[in-house]
Amino acid sequence: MELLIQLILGGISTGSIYGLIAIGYNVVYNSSRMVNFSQGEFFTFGAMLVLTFTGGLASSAALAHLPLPILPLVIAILISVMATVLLALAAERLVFRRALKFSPFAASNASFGMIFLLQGVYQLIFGRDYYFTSSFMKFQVQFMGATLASQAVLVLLTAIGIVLILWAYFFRTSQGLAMRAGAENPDAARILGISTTNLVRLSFIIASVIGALAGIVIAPMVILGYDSGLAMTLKAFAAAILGGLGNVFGAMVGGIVLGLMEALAGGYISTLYKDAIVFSLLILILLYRPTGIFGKSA
Amino acid sequence: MLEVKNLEVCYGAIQVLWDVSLNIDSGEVVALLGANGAGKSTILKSIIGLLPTKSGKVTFDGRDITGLPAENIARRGISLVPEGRQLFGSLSVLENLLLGAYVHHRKLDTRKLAQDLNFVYDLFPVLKERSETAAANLSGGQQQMVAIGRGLMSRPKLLLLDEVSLGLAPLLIKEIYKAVNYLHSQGIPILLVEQLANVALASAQRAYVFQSGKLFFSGTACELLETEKFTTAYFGGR
Repeated sequence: MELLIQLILGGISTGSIYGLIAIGYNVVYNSSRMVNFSQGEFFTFGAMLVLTFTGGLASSAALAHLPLPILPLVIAILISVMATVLLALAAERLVFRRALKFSPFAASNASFGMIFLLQGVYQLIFGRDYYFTSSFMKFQVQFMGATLASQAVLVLLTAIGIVLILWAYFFRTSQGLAMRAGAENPDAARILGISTTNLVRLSFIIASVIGALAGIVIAPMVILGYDSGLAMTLKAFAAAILGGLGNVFGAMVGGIVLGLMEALAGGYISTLYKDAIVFSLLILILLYRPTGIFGKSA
Repeated sequence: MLEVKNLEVCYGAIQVLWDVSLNIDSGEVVALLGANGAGKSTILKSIIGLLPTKSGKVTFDGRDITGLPAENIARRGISLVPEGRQLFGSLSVLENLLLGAYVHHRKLDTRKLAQDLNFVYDLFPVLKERSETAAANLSGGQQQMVAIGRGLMSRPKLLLLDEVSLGLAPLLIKEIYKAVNYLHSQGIPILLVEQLANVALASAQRAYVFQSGKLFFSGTACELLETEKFTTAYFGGR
């Protein structure tokens, strides 16, 4: 029983990270109809920058040779998130906006190239070492005999906070309303004075903030390196598909379902085969619900 | 206030408009008439910037707006009620209407917004009752009312109406055109595309008639209505 609860709690917290990245996928998809496979690279960039600014980078990394001050965690997080937004805006302006002129498909393909371009850059500046970073705080929460580590609690709180803020943005602001309108009918939005180019840029800002925060807060629970984003990219894409591509909040449910399946498969069957088990289940689910849990039937 | 000069438009390699010139003055209701495929909707889409023009010039309020993106043209005060309504189906009636006022969202004045909403609700009272309903769940006539209401929420300097009677029952068409007449009495200039010539000519002062992408005839509504032969030939004498 304790094991079950332990696994469920762990599954929910990892799953909520998949959910956050998947939300990033969907926000961008809704504004542009492209699938941004480099979403996971925002995750890496945010996490690695916090590591850099808190002085955790190995001396072999190029950035470690710069005379960077060691910053308090909160400030390091703020700066890292802002830098990730700038990176996303550059990628949007220089690559994706041009590719979108041809088609969302072209832009999706370009985002695949972006993964390897960014990982190359990350190798150069952050080095090729892998890191186990320490939790932000030291405490534990007991819940029905199971123990929840401090970082898992922070992960959950971050996920809940982001979902609430996003909900308020989409349903309580005129810009959020414009985002929803643009997702549904871009031409109709344009004749009302809504610039769809602006919506795409906004969606990249939102996706990169969420991606960076997700990476930063989960970093102490994973092995962090220049290529950590790719696994996230794949898992979160699965979560987005499972929740229904384009359904922003469905993505969070998809992520948590995926996280739970993974945790339970790992705990009761085999950690070695958990990915195989999870993705087999995913294929089965999608055979019966091809548009995902909350997707509209096509 | 709007002047279209020698407009030519292509869909890919196929030219659909040839040398179209027309104008509309403040306070006027002008109809664009013609059979299906005559290019009427294409003209509206080119004016609002949803279609690129091959050549020609569109000026609005003395300024050249040819080739500007649609969102910029909308911000300058031209509002299109598009063919097929193009509502945001999953959003509520109220949300659709509020989006109509998006051009003013940076200087949003809640009092003015409420005033504009009331203007639309007075025009189409049924929309007030159904303000929380998703637009997709309305009847065709109600959806058309939302589309017109949404087009009015920006306080347009010029309203473009594309086939607002399409697929509606005669009684509803009457109601929609009653609203058009009211808007005219409020001084809003309207350029409307219509297949039902008689209905349009009852509201418009002038009309342009198109055939296969070319301007065929233009004149006052009276002139057109008197040309019996003409109406019978091109609109099937109703």
